[in-house]
Amino acid sequence: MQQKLIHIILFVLICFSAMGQEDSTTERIKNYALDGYISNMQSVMFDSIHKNWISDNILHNRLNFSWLPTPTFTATIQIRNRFIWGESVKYNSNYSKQIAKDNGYLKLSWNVFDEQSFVFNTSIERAFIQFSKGKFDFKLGRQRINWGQTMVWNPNDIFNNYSFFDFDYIERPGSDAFRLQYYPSSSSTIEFTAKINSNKELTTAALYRFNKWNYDIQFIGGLLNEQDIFFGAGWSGAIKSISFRGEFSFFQPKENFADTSGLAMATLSFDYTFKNSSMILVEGLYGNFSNNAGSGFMDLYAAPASVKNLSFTKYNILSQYSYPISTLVNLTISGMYMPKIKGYYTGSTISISLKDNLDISFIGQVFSGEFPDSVSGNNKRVNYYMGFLRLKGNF
Amino acid sequence: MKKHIVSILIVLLSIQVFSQDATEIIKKADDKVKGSSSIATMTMKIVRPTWERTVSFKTWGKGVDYSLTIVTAPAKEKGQTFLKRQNDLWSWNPTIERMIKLPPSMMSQGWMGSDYSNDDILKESSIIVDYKHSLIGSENIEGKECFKINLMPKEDAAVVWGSIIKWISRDSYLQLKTQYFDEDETLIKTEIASEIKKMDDREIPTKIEIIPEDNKGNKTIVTIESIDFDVKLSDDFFSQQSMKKIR
Repeated sequence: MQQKLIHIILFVLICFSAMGQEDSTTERIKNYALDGYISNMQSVMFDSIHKNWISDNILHNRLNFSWLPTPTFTATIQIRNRFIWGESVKYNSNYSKQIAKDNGYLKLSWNVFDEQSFVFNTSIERAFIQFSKGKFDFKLGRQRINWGQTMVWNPNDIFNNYSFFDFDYIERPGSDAFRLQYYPSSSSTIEFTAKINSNKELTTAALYRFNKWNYDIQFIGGLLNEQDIFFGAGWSGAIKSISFRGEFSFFQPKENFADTSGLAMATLSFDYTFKNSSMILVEGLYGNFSNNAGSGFMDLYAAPASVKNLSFTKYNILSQYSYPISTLVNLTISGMYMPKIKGYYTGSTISISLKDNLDISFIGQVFSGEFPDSVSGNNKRVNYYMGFLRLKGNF
Repeated sequence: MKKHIVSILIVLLSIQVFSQDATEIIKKADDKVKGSSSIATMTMKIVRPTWERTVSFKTWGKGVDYSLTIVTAPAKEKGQTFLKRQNDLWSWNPTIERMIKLPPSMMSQGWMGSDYSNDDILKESSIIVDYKHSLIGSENIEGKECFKINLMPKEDAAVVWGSIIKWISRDSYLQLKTQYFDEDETLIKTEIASEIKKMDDREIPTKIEIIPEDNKGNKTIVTIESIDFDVKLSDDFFSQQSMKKIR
């Protein structure tokens, strides 16, 4: 109980000190920085509008704290607090366990309260120190390592598993890692990284990224979870004024190096920004995902277990159009097609800026596809409809 | 006949002198606000009939080739940085820890929803190098006698505008008013500079209002809070490493 109390007091204290922070604009002379957000999101989910609706509510807070005592040393800690209540908590006995899941070496996610109708989770999302010496940066601890170049699926982003659909968690989980970055020039990077996960499996990887012919080009390689040898490449550039990005990665089990059980994944991505600031994005993913049968759409929604599970169908294509109706109102519509399951996803988001630091969003998502029925084994169409209403304030 | 030739020559010569003058005036005016390099903190207020939004940022610039900008407000966008090196443009988003290479088509977009374009902020084009200048008259702006100069883009210049007219004060070479036209000579927006204050070693306008022509009641106000000119910044400072560290 005492521990719980300390948690609450800390939470409240930090929230209040963050509030006092708000109107201060002379950050750069301070040797610390504190920011974050608080949001409240109501969600509903159903497979038929006439039947049972599952509704949930998440009060979500993120606190980012950095201490910068000298120009060459930084310490960062970021905390995520979630207070969730609703039918998922009530009727899914596994739900709170999933909430507390931490894929890192250190278990830094706790359900402070885990009751029948609600769960309160606190997790440490980032905790690292960084030293800099000339063109070297050295970073140790829980951190986000993002090697992606394309916008939807990232075969090169081997440290993190991105679920495109989970719009309420753009920061993504961190990796417990050691990272050395060297900058040979103003627009090139060499990185060496070692990460350890909750199964105590080590991932070691290197990246070289440089700028040539107005393109960013990168090569990656290493050993994933002590199991797969991988290599890949990615790029970002433009054809005339259309952005042209791509990534490919190849994973081969170390044990059966000679056979053909490897996984190849590739993405191609194009985006174009029109004169009226609207933007269109088209991205395709190919992967010979032989092992992922796919049990349903919820696999897609939860962050995939590994970069090797980006999708369960061979071909995927996503198209997205976002249009700023005004400076305050933004509309985004996206559609995804997965031929193998005769499936599609459509999503639409309307975001409205209410004040300088306050936004409201309406989000709708529809998933539809054919999956084998668990009883008969015959393919059966499965539909999911989800709706979200989110109010988010940044400080 | 000889007399005619002489007078034509004089006219020709004087046109040449005029055009040189115009370039000279533009150069002096440009130097005045740019210097060889600068560090500035600014606030940009987007004004619409029923609401206002404010963005603050700090920007380091060197010539036309290099700039680095960090957003300091609002909280949602805070910490995002933009780097321009010659024709390459990147953004760094600390929330998702991602470096994104931006396409050239982003250059002419309204910057963060304002009437200011990326081209203005990131100084893609140069009013000296990319345009031909001619003095077309003399007018009074807010009690100050001004040169009126027309800028036409050079044929090979990759610029956004069809033409530009600038009003530059005679005594101190300040750009007090600028009008931007598209290729069909339609007025797109007007910039009005005011609140002349001493910043670093010189007096410059610290408030610039940008008024788009098609939407009455809309404007963007840029306020220069501080600016230091001719600061020592090496080309290496404008790097991806700096993008992640700058404050």
